[in-house]
Amino acid sequence: MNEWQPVKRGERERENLDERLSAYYGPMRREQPLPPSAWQDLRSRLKSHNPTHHHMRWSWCLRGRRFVKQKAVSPFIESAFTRIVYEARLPRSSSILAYSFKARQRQPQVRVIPLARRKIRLKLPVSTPLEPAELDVLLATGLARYLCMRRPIYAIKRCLGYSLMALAGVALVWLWLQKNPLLVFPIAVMLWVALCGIVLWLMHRQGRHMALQADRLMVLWLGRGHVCRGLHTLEERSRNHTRWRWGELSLAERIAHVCGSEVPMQHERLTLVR
Amino acid sequence: MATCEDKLVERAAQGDTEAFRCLWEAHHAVTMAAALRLCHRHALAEEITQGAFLLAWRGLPRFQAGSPFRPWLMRILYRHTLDVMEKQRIHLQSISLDEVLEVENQIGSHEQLDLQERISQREEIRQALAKLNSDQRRVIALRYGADLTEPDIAHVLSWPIGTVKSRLKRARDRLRKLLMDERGEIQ
Repeated sequence: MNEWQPVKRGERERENLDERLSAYYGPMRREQPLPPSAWQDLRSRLKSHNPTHHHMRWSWCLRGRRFVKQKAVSPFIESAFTRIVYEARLPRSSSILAYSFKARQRQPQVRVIPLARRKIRLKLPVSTPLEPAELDVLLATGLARYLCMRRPIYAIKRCLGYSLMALAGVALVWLWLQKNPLLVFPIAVMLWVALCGIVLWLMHRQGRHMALQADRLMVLWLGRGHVCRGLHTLEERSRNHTRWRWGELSLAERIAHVCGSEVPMQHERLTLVR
Repeated sequence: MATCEDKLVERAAQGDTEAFRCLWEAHHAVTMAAALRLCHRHALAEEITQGAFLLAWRGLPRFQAGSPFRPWLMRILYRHTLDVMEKQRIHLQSISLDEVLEVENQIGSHEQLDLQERISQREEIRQALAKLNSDQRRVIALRYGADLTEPDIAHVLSWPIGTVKSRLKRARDRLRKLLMDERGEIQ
């Protein structure tokens, strides 16, 4: 009989906790209509979503390009980066950011090079102006990925991967120098290629996972609405938003993850507030 | 068969604000109720509701035609609410007496418990929730503040179901321990 006592106590505790948490959030609320002015307020904000509005507002960026070069735009980028650093509650460190305008660049890009002095590299197109949300997303992506890459577990896994490939390469050279029978060397090469393939695939997975984590951080800093807007603007600019590179997410995947706008029919059960 | 709402969604996706107004009128009261239940603050819930509709407006061109609108909107709302609550660190702000009274009036609570007792119970839970990590707070909020099942939580947060289960279990264990410690200290 006594054996059942801890189980019963555990169940009681669990029920008690469930009750207390349910009481904390309270029962289902009845509908809470907003005042009619709320629609007017929302409508005025809907208008500001029109991309042409922003293009006009920030067209000074494009106009200014003819007369002044990179340095004249720097306060605009610097202030945006400072704001993001502040939102991320990090110490101010604009010195890690470098940017350049490229004539052949069609869409803006951000790269993170953890070992370089300027760790976040922004490449911007000369031909088209940049919207504020777009710039914020690029800068926040760079900063968030840099933070994720600095995590020891990420760096250790990365180092292990590269070391493994390098060691296998050294072993292969050593085998070649040993003048082993002809059959051994091709098998070793095949094994080396397979090993490199597996390591590169794992690193690709790790890169994508890190990119997802960075996007989550970015949403926390900038808010989902702002990030969503920035990503959609980048998508409009992009020729092929479903294309992905090694260790990277495609723009479409990032949008699906951040904006979460695809809900299939079978999830109708989510309608819990009636 | 296309319903009236499908047509509204289609028109709104093409930028028709009047169609979006109809959708807003049909759904804003329930989304507001859901946001209020999660965050307990009327002004914040209003802001969150409007924010969720803005997100929905932005995402409408990508909305799967023929899908029900309400679940899609609720998913956006839940994610947005949790983001805003974490960003504004709502769990660190104690609940005021006015808010408790306002919430209880809306629920229509007629419990005989002393008001002071109810406030201290709420405060105890809030402090325990503040000690959880962000992901644990999210699963607890969706489980108890939105009454979602584990698969639904997994869908809303885009996490694997196993992750939801383990985080929910860890969150419950930690909360139980924290609340028991609290009781022990009081006694």
